[in-house]
Amino acid sequence: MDYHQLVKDCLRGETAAQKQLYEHFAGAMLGVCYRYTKSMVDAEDVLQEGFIMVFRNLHQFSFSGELGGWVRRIMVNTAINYLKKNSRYQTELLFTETVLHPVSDDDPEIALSTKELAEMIRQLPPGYQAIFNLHAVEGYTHVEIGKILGIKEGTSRSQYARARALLISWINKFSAANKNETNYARP
Amino acid sequence: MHDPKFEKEVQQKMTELEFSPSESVWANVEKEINQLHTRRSFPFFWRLALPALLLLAGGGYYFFSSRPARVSPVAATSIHTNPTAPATSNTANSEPGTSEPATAERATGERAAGNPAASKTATGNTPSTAVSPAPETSVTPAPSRTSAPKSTLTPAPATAASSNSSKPGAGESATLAAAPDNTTTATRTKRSTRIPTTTHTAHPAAGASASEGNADDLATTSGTGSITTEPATKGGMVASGAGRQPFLFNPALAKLKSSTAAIHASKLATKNAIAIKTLQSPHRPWEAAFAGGIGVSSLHQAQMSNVTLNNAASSFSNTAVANTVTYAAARPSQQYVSTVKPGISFWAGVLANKPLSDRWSISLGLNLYYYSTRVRIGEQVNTYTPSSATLLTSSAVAPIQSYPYYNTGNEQAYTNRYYFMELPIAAEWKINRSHLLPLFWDGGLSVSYLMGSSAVYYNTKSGVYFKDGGVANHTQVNISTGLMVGLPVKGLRVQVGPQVQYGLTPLLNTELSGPQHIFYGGLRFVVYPGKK
Repeated sequence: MDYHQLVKDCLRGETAAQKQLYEHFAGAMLGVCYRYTKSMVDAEDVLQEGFIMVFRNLHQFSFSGELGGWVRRIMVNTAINYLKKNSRYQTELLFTETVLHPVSDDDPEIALSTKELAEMIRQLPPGYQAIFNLHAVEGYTHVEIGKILGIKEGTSRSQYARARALLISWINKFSAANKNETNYARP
Repeated sequence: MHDPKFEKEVQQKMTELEFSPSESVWANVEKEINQLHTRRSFPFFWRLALPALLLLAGGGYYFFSSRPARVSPVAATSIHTNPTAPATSNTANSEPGTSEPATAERATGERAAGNPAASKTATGNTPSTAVSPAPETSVTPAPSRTSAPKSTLTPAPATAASSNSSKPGAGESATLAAAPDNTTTATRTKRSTRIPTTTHTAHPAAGASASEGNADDLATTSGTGSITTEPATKGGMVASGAGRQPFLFNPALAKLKSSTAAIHASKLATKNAIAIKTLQSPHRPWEAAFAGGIGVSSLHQAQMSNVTLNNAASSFSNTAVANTVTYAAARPSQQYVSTVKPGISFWAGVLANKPLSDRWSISLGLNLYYYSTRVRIGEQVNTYTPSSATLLTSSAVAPIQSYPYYNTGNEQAYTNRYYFMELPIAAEWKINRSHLLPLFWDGGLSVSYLMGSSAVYYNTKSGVYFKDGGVANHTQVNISTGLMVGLPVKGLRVQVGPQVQYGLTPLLNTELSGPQHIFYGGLRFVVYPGKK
């Protein structure tokens, strides 16, 4: 797809081009929003808000990078802002200073499907969930996460370590349960 | 340490995560982006402009009201000749309405040698002032309340009061009570008659010429070697002139007023001392002035890439530097990029000027600037949200403010407006020594703040004009210079001349439109109220 032309058509106000851009990225972006929220309704709210931001800032896209990455970044930031704004997530996002949690050395084989893994990530407490998504999936450093969430770098590290250890333990349990041909149950 | 393979695996799986959003999402997005929100930046400007104007007015008032009082030449001479003389003032020199009730007169040696206790009541219906002739006697009416150094109402045989003593007074009595320390204090009760400001000189032949002001102010009877002035009383009643209402003399009140007069005399002495100091040292006070100017402003685009437009024939060149505003990418369709044309600009403000020497001075000021430029743009397309309300900040959750953006084209003329508040500091040098037409060179720096703007900026990459207050550098540093000539205008000092100003700070904090600097050129005028 010629993103360059698509963006210019969007900037000229062509609705068809705007819808084309939306349809091209909406599915993947809803997946991004889904990972940060606890329900599909919330995810769609974030998606809607995020695309509004995309279209309103499209003139600032410099064509120097990937359009998909630019849209994704806006979605992630919109999601974080949504979590901060939404009272359901606010209390969980109050990070406290904790000692560094020992990182699990486990290297589990992820025998889960994409949606199963996404569901497992969404089961994490919102604070863990956001930090895990930002670091493990989006690739932000802990310094960047600290700036985004307004926390210290060390706090981000420790929270990530806890989230990771918790997730690995769930994956291990899930794998063991599968071996025993039992159903996965949330710990 | 944790194994990054886990993260990589998670990352890979999550990139595959996709869902189908409901139809309502796109409907809401489409509805939102098609809504046109207009935003006017002027209310913001006016919110700041009003306090700024009040500040200007207050500053101007302060400067004008705090200018040092001028000292009359007579007083200045008097002070200069004998600055160490004791503070003495004259009772007859008060300007009407100045409420200068107290006047102390210190008797000089001869009088001190006289009869300090002598205090007589003037006889007759008219209070008399007896001022003895003395060769150097001068009672100087100093508007600035300075006293004659050699003041002196020398004791002498009583002389008849001057002619205007019969003027119907206002129930006013004055007492020059000869104190034991030879200090004579005058007290007035009320003055309703206008007393001309005159210079009183006790001339030997004139008798009591010092009573020019109001003879019935004083009832002076001089004994031998003493001056005693007190209300002409008779049975506790001041003997007034014909048709004058009788005035009951109250000794307690007179005493109280006498002490008040002493306090006032002390204050006057302090002021006199300040005036003496002021006159003795070379003083170049701050001067306040009003300044303003009118001219044209433009944007100086120093560096632009050399990518040419596809349709070169229809492209516009940038007249400011003869560079073409261009795109970073090839444009398949015809695009027109307008030149930035100069627009009208004007400014006004106040300044404070401090002369450092005969030819050099510095000035500080506070100005409000209006700049404008003109471009030709295409149709308005849509709205967008400023970048400041987006990434990585919680401001995204704040209410969204939207601005229109425009295609390139030649459909309409658009005026970019900028409103700045500026704090200039400049040095001024008087080039010649002509008093008739003095020439001044002026140069300096200024810091200005962009209070509001309606400007559209061109994005060289996406090819649209957009409004976004967040992309402008609100704080600017400027350099300016000018040449001015002083014009002889009655009652004023006016300087007029050309001025240019250049913004050292780029107007935009983004590379989207290339570096742009504000340039202003015009006529400047400065008005100093009052002659130097």
